[in-house]
Parts: sequence; C-alpha cells; structure tokens
Amino acid sequence: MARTLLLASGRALFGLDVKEVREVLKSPPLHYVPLAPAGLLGAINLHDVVVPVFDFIQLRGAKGETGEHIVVLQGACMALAVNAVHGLCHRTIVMPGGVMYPWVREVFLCARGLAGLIDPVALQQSLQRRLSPTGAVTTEQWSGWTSR
Amino acid sequence: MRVEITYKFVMGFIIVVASIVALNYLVPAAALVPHYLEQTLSTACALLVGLMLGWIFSKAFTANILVLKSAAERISDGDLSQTVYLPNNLLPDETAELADSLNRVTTNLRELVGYIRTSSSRVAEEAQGLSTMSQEVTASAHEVTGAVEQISRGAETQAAMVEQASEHFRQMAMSGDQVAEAARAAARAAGETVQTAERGGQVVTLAMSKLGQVLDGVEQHGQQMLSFSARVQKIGKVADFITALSQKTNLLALNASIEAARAGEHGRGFTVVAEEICKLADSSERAMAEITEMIVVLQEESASVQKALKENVLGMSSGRSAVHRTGKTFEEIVTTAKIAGDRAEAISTLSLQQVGEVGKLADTVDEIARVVSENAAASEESSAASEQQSAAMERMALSAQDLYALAEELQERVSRFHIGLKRTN
Repeated sequence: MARTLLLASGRALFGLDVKEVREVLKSPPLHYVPLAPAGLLGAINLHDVVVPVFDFIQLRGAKGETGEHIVVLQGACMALAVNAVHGLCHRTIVMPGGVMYPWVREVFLCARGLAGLIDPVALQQSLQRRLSPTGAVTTEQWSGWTSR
Repeated sequence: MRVEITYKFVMGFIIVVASIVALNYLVPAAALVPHYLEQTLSTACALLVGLMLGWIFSKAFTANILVLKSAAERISDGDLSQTVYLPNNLLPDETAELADSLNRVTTNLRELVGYIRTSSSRVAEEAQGLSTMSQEVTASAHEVTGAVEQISRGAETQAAMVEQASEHFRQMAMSGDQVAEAARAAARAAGETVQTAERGGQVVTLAMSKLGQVLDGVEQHGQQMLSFSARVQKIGKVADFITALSQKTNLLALNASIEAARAGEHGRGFTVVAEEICKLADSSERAMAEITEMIVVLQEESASVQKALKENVLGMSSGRSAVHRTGKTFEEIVTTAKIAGDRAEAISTLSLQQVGEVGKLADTVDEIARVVSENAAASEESSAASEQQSAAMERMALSAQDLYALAEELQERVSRFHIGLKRTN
C-alpha cells in the first residue's frame, strides 16, 4: 500500500505521495525574493540548491497564517510552506478528487480524517497558469526553475 | 398871737350884742322912721346885723375846721401828698395846732407808707425770688430724689448682681476644686500611661527583634526562592532544547521514513527503524511536553510564590517600619504622657491657687455686696430725706407764695396812700 505524507494547511488536510516528497524542513533560513509575486514566500538553500517556497494556504486561496514547515517536492523542484506535517499514513477509501482544487488527484480517508492527495504536476501547472498572466513568472523562468 | 376859739366866740358875741345895742341907740338918733317904727326898725336892724355878724364870725370860725375836715377826709382817703394850709390864720387858734398835728401825722404816715411800700415791694421781690428759688430747689430736689431713687434702684440691682457674682465665684471655686481634682486624676492617669507606654515600648522592641528575625528568614527564603526560580528557568530552557531536539529527531525520522519509502523494498527495514525512531521521538516529545507543562506550572507557581514572598517582604518591611514607628510612637507617648502629667500637676497646683484666689475674690465680692447693700440703704434714706426736703421746699415755696401774696396785698393796701411820689411798681 502506498505511503502518504499527511500535512495540514489551515484546517484542511492534504497528502503527498512519499515518492514525490524530497525532504521536510522546519523553519529553515528563508531568503526573500525582491518583486516576488503573491504566494512566493522566498527561497531556501537546500544542499546548495535554491528552491522556491510557496505559501500553500495562499495557493489554496484561503486565509490563515503561513506555516513554518517546508515540504520540498521531489520532481517539481519547489517547496510548500504548510502549517503542520503529521507524518506518514496509509490512504484508505480512496475517491477521485479534483472537485474543489484541480490539483487534488484523490480524496482519501486517514486516521485524522479526509485528506486530498496533491498532484505535484497539476499543482505546478496551476501555479504556472496563475502566475504567468501577471508577468511575474514566465514559462522560461518556470522551466528554468523546474529544470534545475 | 394865739387866741382860743372860746375867746373868739365870746368876742363875737360881745360884738354882736354891742352892735345890737349900738343900733338901738343909733336908729332913734337918726330919726329915719317914725317913732313907733323905731323900735321895729332897730330890732330889725339888730337882727340883721346880728345875723350878718354871726354868719361872718361863723364862717370865719368854721373855715379852718372845714379845711381840717377836708384834710382829714383826704388823709382818710389815703392822700398824704398835700400839706394842710389854713386860709385864715391871722389869729391862730386850736385849728392851727390841729393843722400842724395833721401835717405831722401826714408826714409820719407818708414816711411810714413809703417805708411800708418799699419794704413790701422788697418783701414781694424777695418772696418772689424765694418762691422761684424754692421752686428751683424743689425741682432740683425732685431731680435729686429721682437720681437718688435711681441710684437706690441701681444699688439694689448692683447688690443683686454682686450676689450673683458672689454665687458665681463660689461656683467657680467649686469648679476649680473639681478641675484640680481632675488634673490630679489626669496626672495619675498620665503616670499610669507612662508606665503602660514604657511596657508597650519594651514589648514593641521585643516584637521588632522577633520581626527582624522573621524578616531575615523571609528574605533568606525569598533568595532561595529566587535561586530556585532561576534553576527552574534553566530547566525550562533545557526542556525547550530537548523538545526542539525531539522535534528535529522526529523530523529526521520522518525524512528517513520518506527516504526509506522511496527506497521501496530495500528500505523496508530502515523504514521500520525510522518509524520506531519517529515513535520514540514522538514519545520523548510528548514526555517533554508534559515536563514542559509541569515546568511551566512550576515556573508559574514559583513566580506566584516569589511574588507573594516579595509582597510578604514588602509587607514585613512596612510592618517593620510600622513597628518601628509604633516604638517611636510609644516613646513619644511616654514623653507626651510625662509632659501631660507634669502639666496636669501644674494645672492642679494652679487650680488650687486659683481656688484660693477665687475664695478671696468671693469674700471681697461679699464685702462689696455688703457695702453695696449699705449704699442701697443709704440711698433709700437719702431718697426719703430728699423727698422730705422736697416736701419742705414745696411748703417753703407755698409760704413764699403766701408771703408774696401778703406783700402784694400790703402793697395794694398801701397803694391807696398817695404820698406825692410816682409808684415804681
């Protein structure tokens, strides 16, 4: 059975497949980026690699405090600031997602309740669609970020 | 030559008789009428001559008497101004002497009337002055009587007031006795207060010593509590460090679990280890959380105890200062009580002296009251004497008025006498 990293953003629970998680950090030194778009908190130095950190609660369009746990994604080369990381769990009673958020692939039940399984690729695409029209992040920039 | 009236009558008779006889001889000798008529004519002539001579002699004889009569009538009418002059004084007789006597009487009466008039006038004036004076004296006597009565009433009032003053002085003397007794009682009470205050001061000194020991103990406990709080703070920091270490361990275990899960079947054993480490980190984190909670409670209690100790120390300090002030207050009470006792003794002595002086004053006031009473009696006697004098003066005024009336009457009576001088009044 697939292992899932359970994390919390505000009062909502989300999950990430373990294979798509590179590392979990807590309150690393965050470097702010000038003229950064809304939602981009800054960047961290992860083993000599610059990783952009997004505020997950702002990406959801919700209101709340920015989390201090940083979840670095494996393939997308990005990190999400979440409020809490509850550890690994097993997904049971899995249902298809994408109703509220297009980047939620499945909805599953865990010991803490219902959680949405995040699709990093879809989340990346959603971020690209949201940030590109503003001119804040171009496709080349995004590709450059994600290709590193 | 003085001829008495008798002789004059005799001589007149002789002349008349001689004339009649001579006519009896002359008429026949004259042969004027017939013979038979000679006797008638001679008789008629004799009658006529007799009548004529008789009338002449009578007139001559009675003229002075008529003058004297009119003079007597004038004198009787009060006219003393004229002197009697006899018209026929060729041969003075008794009428001339009577005229001289009337003139002397007139002169004497004139002098007497003048004297009486002058004297009565003076008597009237004097009587009037005496009446006026007696009236003034009567008025003055009335005023004196009123003043004396007022003095008498004032003396009576003064006597009553002096009696009251004497009573007040005696009451004051009694009050002075009571004040002296109260002052002596106050002095005794002040002495007892001094003793009590001295005992209280000793007790306060002992209490201060004990309280100082207690305060020293409390301060020592406060210092120990501060040290304990500091150590608890350090324990809290260590617990925080251990908690952070557990969280990092937990995170590290989580990352290890993630790595093991990504490793698949090859990392299964490592996954188990990572999960155990994660559980151990969770257990240690929960335990540290409990420890931290206990430390927090301990810190809070320590802070409250420290705060209470500080408050107690402050309270004890203020209590120490209060006890110190109480000791000072007791000392001041002792001093004040001594002073109050001394002053009470002085008040007692002065009150006794005052009582003596007030007694003397009361005696003096009694003497004054006696003198005032005598003065009041004397004033009453003076008032009575003044009233008697006033009555006497009124009687004298009445007598003076009577005298004046008498003098006026005398003048009125005398005024009917004319002495040839103008009356002055």
